[in-house]
Amino acid sequence: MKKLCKLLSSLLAVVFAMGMSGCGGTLKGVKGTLNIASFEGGYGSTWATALKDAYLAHNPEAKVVVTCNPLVRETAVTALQTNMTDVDIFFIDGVGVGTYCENYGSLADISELYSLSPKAGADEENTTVKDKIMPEVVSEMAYGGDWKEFENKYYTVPSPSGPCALILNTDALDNALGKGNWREPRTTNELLELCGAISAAQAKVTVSGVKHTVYPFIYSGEAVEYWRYLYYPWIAQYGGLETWNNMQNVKINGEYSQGAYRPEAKLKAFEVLEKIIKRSNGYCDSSSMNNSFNQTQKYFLQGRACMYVTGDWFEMEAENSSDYKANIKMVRTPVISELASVIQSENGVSLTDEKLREVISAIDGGNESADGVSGEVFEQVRTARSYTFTLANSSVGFVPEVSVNKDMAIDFLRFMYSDEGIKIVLRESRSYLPVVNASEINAEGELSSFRKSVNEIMQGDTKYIYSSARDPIHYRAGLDTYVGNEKPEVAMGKKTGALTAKEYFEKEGRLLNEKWADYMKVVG
Amino acid sequence: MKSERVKSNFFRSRKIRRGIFIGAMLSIGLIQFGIFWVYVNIDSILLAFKLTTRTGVSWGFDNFKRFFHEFKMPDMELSLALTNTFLLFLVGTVMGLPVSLLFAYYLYKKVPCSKFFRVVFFLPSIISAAVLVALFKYLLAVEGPVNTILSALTGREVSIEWLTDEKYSMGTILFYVFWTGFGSNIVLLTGAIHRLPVDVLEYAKLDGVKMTRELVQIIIPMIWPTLSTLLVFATAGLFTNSGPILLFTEGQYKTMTIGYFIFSEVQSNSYEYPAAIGLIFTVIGFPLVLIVKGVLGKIFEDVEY
Repeated sequence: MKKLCKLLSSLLAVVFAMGMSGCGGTLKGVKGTLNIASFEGGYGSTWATALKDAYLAHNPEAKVVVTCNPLVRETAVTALQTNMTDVDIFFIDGVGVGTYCENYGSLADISELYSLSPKAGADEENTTVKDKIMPEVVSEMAYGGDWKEFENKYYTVPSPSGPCALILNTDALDNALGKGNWREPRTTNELLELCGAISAAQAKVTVSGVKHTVYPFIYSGEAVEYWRYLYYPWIAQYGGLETWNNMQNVKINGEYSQGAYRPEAKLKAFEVLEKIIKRSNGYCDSSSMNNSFNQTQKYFLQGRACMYVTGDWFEMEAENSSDYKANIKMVRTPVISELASVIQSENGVSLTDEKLREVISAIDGGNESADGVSGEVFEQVRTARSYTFTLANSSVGFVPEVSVNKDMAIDFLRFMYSDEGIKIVLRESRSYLPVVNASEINAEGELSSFRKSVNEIMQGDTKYIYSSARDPIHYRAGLDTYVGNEKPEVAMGKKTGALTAKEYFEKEGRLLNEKWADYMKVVG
Repeated sequence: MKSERVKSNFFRSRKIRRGIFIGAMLSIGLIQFGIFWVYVNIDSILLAFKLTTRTGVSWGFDNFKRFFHEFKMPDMELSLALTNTFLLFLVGTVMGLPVSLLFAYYLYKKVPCSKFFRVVFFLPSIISAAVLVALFKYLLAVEGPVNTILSALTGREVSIEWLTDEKYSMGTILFYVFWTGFGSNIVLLTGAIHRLPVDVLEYAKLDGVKMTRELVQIIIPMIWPTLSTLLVFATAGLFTNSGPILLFTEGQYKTMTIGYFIFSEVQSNSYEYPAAIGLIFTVIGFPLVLIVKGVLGKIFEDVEY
C-alpha cells in the first residue's frame, strides 16, 4: 500500500511538472540546430521546407528543422510576449516591430543581414541584401518609432508576398458581355462603365442546375478589408506618394497632423468605392456581405461575378479550397479618373477620361509618350499607373532575441535572398520576394495565365504601396487604419443605414478630432 | 552524529512527512493561483493606470479619462455597446433562465417526447461554438434554408441578411444566445430538481397541488440556491460577456458589446486602455453582484434536505 502511495505520488508529481512546463514552453533552442517556423497561409506550406532542402545541399553540415502550420502566428505572438521560444526564425504575416521592441525587447537586431551579400553556398552576389530588396519595402523593415536605442536598426525581413489588385474572371466577362466586347478597365470611370454594362446584361450562369445572376463584383463580408487593395492605390494616385506616406505616418513635414490622415485623396477614393459597393447600384453580388472567404472564392470561380479584389495568393488558395476552375487574371489597379482634375489644376491641361485611357494604353504598351499630352503629364499618369498595393511589408521573417542560432539564422536569410533562394520561393509559393531584380528572375515550368499576369505586374513598372503601422501613433497610441468601430467598407456597403463617402469621411474627421488629444498625449 | 540522528528522526516522523506531502501537493495549486490569479490581476490593475509614451512610462488616470471621453462620443457607439451588453444579459439570463427552468421542469415531469427534447436542448452545449456558429450562419445565409422556407411560405423572394443588416443583426445574435443558452442551464436545473425529496412532491400531489403551484411554491423555493447561484454568476459576467460577436460580426452592423470592445483593443496589442475599461466595469459590477446576491438571499430561505 505504502509503495503504491509512493508510486502514485511520484506519478502525480511528474504529471504536474509536465503540466507546468507546458505553460512555459521550451525556454531555449538547441545550439547548432536552426529551427524555423513558417505560417501556412495563402502561399502554401512548402516554400520554407524547399528552401531548407536547398540550403542543406549547400551546407551539408548544418542542421535545420522547419515547422509549417496555420498556428505559427499564435506561437510567434506567445514567443515574443514571453521571450521564450526554441524557434530561431519565424515567418508570419504581420508583426508589430515597435510594440515588441519597446515593450518586450523580444526581436533580434538583424541589421547585419542587410549589410551582407546574398549567398548560395560559396557564391556571394555582388550586392547587399539591403540593395536587393525594393527600397520602398526595405525601409519598412526597420524600427519606425522614436526610442533611440532601436533607431536605424532592422528587425524583420520580407517573406514572399506579391501584388494585391483587381482580378478578372475572363470566362464570366465573356459570358456577361460576349467575347471581345469588353476590355480591361484602365480608369475608374471605365471600371464603373464596365460594372454598368455587366449589370445591364443581366447574364446568368448555371451552377449545379441553379441559375445565378452574373454580377460585376463579389467580395466576402469576412474580409471587407480586401477593398483597400483597390482604393489605397487610388489615394496614392490622386494625392501622390508624399500624400500617401503622410497618411501612413499621420504627419506633414514631420509634425503630426489630422489633415495628413484625411487627405482629399481619401475622400475621392471613398467616392469611387462607394459607387461600387453601394447596394442600390447593384454592382456587387447581393450575398457578398454574408459570404465567407471560401464561398466567395468558389462563387467567383463559378462565374457568378466578373471581378474580385485580392492578392496574388488567390490562385494557390483557391486550388486548395475549391474544385472550380476559371480563366482568371490580375490586372493593374485602374487609375482614378479624378487624376484628370489634379493634372488640370497642376498643369492647366484638360484631360478627358478617354484621353486618360489612351495615355494609360500607351504606358501599358511600353511607349515613352502619347499623342496630345506633354511629357510631364505622361510621367504623372505613368507614376499613378505604377502604384500597386502589397502586403510585402507585413509578411515578414524575424529572429527572436532569445534565439541561440542568430548567426545561422542570418546565414539562412542570406541564402533566401540569393537568386537561387528567390527562385525556390517563387516555384513553391508562386510569389516573388520583393526584390529589385525580379524582372531577371523567371519562374520555371509552365505558368498559369493568372501567374503570368501577376508576374507581369511584378516584373513591370511597379511601385509598391502598403499600409504601414510603424509610426508610434498606430502601435502605441492605437490609431488604426480607420477610426471608431465601423469599417469604411461596411459603413458604405451595408444594406440598412449605409453612409455616403462624404458622410463617412466627415464622421471619421469628427472622431479623429475628438480623440486627437489622447493620441498626442502618447506620441507628442 | 547526534544531529544526523535527530535529522533522520525528524523526517521519519509520520506527522512531519504527512505535512511535507500535503504542503508539496498544495504548493502546486498555490503557485498556480499566485501566478495565474494574484499576479495577473495585480498586473491588470497596474496596467490600467499605466501609459506608455514617447518619453517612457507615466502613471495616472489617463486611460480612465479616455474611456469616459470616448463614451460620450456618439460616433464611437460605446453607449450602444453597453446597451447590447445589457440586452445579452436580459435575453440570456433574465429571459433565458426562467424558460430554462420551465423546460427543466417539463423534462422532469417526463411529459411526452421529453427524452427527445432533452437531447435537442442540450445539443448546442456539446457542439463546439465555432461549429454551431457555422451551422447557424448556413441556416441564415441569404440563400440559406430559413430564407428559402420564408420565401415558400410568403410566396415572394425573401433575401433577409440576418447577420449583416443592422435591422436584424443584433436580434439574430440575441436569438442565438437565447437558443444556445438553454443547454447548460437545463442540465443544472434538472439536476437540482431531481435531487428534491420525492416524498415532498408526493405529499403535494396527494394534497391536490397542480403543476403550476408545484413549480412556483415548492420546486423554485427548494432549488433556489441553484437558481440564485446561476443569477449571481450571470451578473458577475455581465460586462465581460462579449457574446458570440467575434464569430458572427466582429462588432460591425451595430453589434458591438463592451466585452468585445475590450477584446478587440487587446487584439490590436493595446493592453493599458482595455485594462482600465475592465477595471471601470469591475468597480461597477462588484457592488452590483453583492446587491444581487443580497437580494436573492432574502427572497427564499435556504432549505435543507
